[in-house]
Amino acid sequence: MRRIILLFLLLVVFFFLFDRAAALFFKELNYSFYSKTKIKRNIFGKAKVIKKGFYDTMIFGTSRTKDAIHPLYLSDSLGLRAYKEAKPSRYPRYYYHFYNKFRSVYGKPEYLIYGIDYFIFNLRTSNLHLMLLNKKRKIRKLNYSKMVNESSPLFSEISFLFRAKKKIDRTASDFLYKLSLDWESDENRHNSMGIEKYTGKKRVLSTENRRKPGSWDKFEYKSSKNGEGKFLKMLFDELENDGVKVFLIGIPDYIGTYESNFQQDKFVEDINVLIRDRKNFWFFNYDHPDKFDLSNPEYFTNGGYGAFNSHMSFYGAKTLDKLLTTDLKKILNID
Amino acid sequence: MQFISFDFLYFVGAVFIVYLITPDRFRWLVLLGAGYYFYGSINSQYLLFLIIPTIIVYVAGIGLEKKRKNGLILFAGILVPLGLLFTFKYLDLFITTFATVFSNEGIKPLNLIFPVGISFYSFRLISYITDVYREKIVSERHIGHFALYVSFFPQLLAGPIDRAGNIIPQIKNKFFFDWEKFMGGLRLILWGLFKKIVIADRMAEFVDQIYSNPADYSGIHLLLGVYFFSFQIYCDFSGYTDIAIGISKIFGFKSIENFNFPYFSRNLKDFWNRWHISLSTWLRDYIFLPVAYPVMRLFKKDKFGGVNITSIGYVTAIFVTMFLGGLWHGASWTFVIWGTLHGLYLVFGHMTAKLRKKFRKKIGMKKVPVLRSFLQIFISFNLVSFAWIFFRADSFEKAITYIKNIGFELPDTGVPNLLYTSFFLLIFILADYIYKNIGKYTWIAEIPSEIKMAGYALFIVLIIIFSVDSSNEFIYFNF
Repeated sequence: MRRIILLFLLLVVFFFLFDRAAALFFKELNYSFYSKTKIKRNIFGKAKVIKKGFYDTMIFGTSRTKDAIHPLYLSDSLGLRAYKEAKPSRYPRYYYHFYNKFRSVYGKPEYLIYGIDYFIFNLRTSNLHLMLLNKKRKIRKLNYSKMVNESSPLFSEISFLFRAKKKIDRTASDFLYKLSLDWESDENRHNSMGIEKYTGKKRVLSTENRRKPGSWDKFEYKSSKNGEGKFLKMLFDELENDGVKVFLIGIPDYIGTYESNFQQDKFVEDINVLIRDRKNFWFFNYDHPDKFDLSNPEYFTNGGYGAFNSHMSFYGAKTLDKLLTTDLKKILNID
Repeated sequence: MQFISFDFLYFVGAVFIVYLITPDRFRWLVLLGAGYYFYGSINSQYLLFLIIPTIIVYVAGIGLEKKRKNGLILFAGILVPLGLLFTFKYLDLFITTFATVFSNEGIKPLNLIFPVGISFYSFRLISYITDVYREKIVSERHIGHFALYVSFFPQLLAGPIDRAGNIIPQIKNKFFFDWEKFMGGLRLILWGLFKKIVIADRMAEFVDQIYSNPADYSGIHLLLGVYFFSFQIYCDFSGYTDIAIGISKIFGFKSIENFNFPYFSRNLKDFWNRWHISLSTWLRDYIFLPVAYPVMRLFKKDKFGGVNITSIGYVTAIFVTMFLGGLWHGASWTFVIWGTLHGLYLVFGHMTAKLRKKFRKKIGMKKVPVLRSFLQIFISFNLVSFAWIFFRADSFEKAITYIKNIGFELPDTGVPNLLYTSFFLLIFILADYIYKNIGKYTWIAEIPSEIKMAGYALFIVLIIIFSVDSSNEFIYFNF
């Protein structure tokens, strides 16, 4: 029995030793990665190839905008040369810094199309995305004493690594993303140079996601006082000072998602208040059944009742971009 | 309570402590209570569908003891679990198929809540009553012991489908705490966890994405996706099995082995002797043999139309078995296609066995046994992996789209992610190979226990670092 207890204690001691050693190593690795890594292969590394002033339009937004608004349609209908920076998980802080950097390298654009949605003030820009801009950032070393892993607070007390599990996964995923940027050739990236030819995904909403259940999750609206609202206002100030014409686009959601995001009125009002006193700002909200056929499942690739967002298919994007270019023509006085 | 969760870990720990301090004659009660509590914690309504058939089959077993070889009692004992299984699992498939065939939109599926584990405990009940009927075992008089056999909590949700002849005598045995067995159980649990949350769940991240929209991915993505799923399902299910057998071992139970390195099989028959062994032996004993022998008895001569009647019996029984084996996995025609495809493989293998042997002799394969083994394993693995496409795809159309788009062109994006996932796969294949040949590395057994403790601690730390945080439920819990 004594030997069993001894072996068990040894197991615990070894676990503590390895756990703490690995946690210490990860702490340094994480700090070093986020504070020192520079990403060269981004749009700003191509200043020699892309002439200043080549792009007259920029497209900002999250993955929803990436799937919904395509430079090719803007080029064909309006003759605009749009650069699309709309990408997954990009929020106002990112775009504030991106715009400033873009302006200093390539000059200010004439137009900005910013795809916005109900969740624009819910989330925050990650360190990785600030890294993409090589933005000087204050990185704090991980403080294990302040971390808890909610999946087991008890085991969290024992293991530092377990406490930091989400951070470990995030760093690994960011590291892989960084490697992807280093790996992939310019030609393979849709937004590398010239007008992006990519026009979206041809799959449509699955039959399963079209079903309307008896009850489903619903999501409250978080106003511009939350998240990175402050950065959006700062970006708007810069754009207004630069005389850029800004078009805020409410990206359509599938009807189930639209109904899950039940405080649409608050969202619209909030955005209208934000741009009310600004020159050259327009808000086209297509995320409304009267403005767009939100019930057509062929227009979306995902979403549904209880889902907080949905993405547009090739067919949805084509229809939306037709509406958008028609509306833009009126404002830009293009025949 | 999920199987992969800290709640379950604490639950097992608590049950074990109570089990240790309980007198032998009441220990079955601790495990039975734990089984019902665990099952009820998933959904309390499920308990009814576990307890009622248990009582009915118990009574039927006693009845068969009194009226031996009574077909009616056997029929009743099989009908109850099979009826429940059919109602919950297959009725909707038949309703929707009927509605589609007869273009009747008025007929709607019932959408009943499927009691998790029903496929597994139903098969335990059926094997028990059949074995009593065949007089392979005597019926169990102690209802508590019988109920524990059906609801033994580590094996309740997804097997292994242990036979009553193996488990019930162990319930009656006295329990002695054995450090070596205890550590053996813990080792299996850790290895199972590694397979599940480090390998299977990592493969799942990749596989789920590409199977949801195969048309969006490059040929090489899809090709690797096939292999990734092969290892996902293996690591997922064998990982669960290792955990289940490991927990059983801690409680002093020796369970049937369920996997024996199936991807090292040299042909498809060999594969089915190594994959989900408890199900394949169940299918052999309760479907294949009961079909094969009567079919053969239909013919009075040794040959029919020039074909050996043994072959006729084999082919018929294989198709019936694999068709039902496919259907057992789920109420979808993709599973039936998967099962039938395996049936075709087996029949083809049976029919061409002599021819292949001649061919191997002709090209001198016997002189290069390593190459021969490699080719056999390679071909078998690829055939199995191809069949998995139908198993994994949401529909037949998606499976066909997937197959059509498989190719060798390199992807534009996501290469580091692909390499990262492949790296884990290589680590696993290497680890599995070492594990398979562990007997050759005698020095491992000679490592002092103190050093082994350091090894276990390091393994736990590595699992924490490399596990996938958002772990999925086990695939076989859906069956």
